[in-house]
Amino acid sequence: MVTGPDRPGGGNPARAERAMIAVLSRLLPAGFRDRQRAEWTGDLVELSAAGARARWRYLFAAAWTLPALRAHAGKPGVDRPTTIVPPSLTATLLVQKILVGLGLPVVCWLIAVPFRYFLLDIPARLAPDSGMPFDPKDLWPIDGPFIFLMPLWVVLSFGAWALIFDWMLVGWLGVTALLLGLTQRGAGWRSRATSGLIGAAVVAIALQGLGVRIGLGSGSSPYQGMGLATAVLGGVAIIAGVSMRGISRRSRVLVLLTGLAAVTIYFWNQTPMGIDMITWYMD
Amino acid sequence: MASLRMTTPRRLVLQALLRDPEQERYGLDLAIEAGLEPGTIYPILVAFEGAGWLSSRNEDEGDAREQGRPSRRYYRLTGAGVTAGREALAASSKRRAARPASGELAW
Repeated sequence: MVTGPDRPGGGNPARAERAMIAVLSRLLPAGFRDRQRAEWTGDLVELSAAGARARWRYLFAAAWTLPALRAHAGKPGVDRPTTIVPPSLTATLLVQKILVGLGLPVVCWLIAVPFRYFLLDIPARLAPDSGMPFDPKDLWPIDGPFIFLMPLWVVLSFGAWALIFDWMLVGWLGVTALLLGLTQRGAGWRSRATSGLIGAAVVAIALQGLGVRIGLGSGSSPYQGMGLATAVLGGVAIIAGVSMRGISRRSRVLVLLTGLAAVTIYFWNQTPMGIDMITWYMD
Repeated sequence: MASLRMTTPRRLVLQALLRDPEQERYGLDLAIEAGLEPGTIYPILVAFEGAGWLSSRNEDEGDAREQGRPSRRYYRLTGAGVTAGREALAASSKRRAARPASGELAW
């Protein structure tokens, strides 16, 4: 079947064979894919003199052992080609900071503000002639047996406030940097200490700014123009999502969605309906 | 150094590698020498590599180009792999010898 291990030359695999290799490769872990594709392709080139039947037999045998190969390829100790760039610690940290520092407040804001505002039909309830006896923003069950929901309520509230008050977003980011820096796996103590110190410094700056409202607008609502930090960080997230190298597609999509959502929320909060919503939420 | 469960294909590959532990081998060549179906050897090589028994490297592209073929990935037993491989083969042979011969009842 094989003319010899050092048989020179040999044709490239046929199109269908290359397609089969591509399909098999796609089923392997990303960091291992190129290495194994090169192995299979090289073997098929070497098997070119053995005929199409032998090459397809080779490919089906490779497919048969694919689950085992996939299982072993994901384990540590297996050398991966240098052409595959693993996610750098800096990129990983930045993605985590964006997702926790900005993405989580975005989710909190969506749940705490517009979701309840529209689900409970607040505009109708607040109408002078609605006749409805209460403002349902107090309906969150935290009394009696529901006391365990209190931590969730606190996180939702702080997250939502972070998108409204710039200093709170800065504080949230500081806490995120502090926690991620201290708990980051694979980071040396210097890296952890640096991240922790930066986080602590940001928290301190945010606490200094406590009570200082940074409002660019001069409208009738005190909330108009607030949350500029959300828009700026959203822009940073979009730029990072587009340009960052060495991150997975899923991370890139999440970072981009977070950035777009943050920018959209900022502009939404400047609209009359957005201001009404924030005013209801903050009162 | 991780230990590995010995199966017949793994034994065959180990035996082929241990015939000349210093020599670098590539997948297809090794599969043929071990008597395995070509294409089935890579999970074994990757398992050995993951256990620290093998090291691998990409062939220099210039060398491969001179011979008019794609560059290969070469595998070689590590020092620890030689020891662990010999021990695993010995243990596996002992287990096989302890088994009752074919046709005999085990009790």
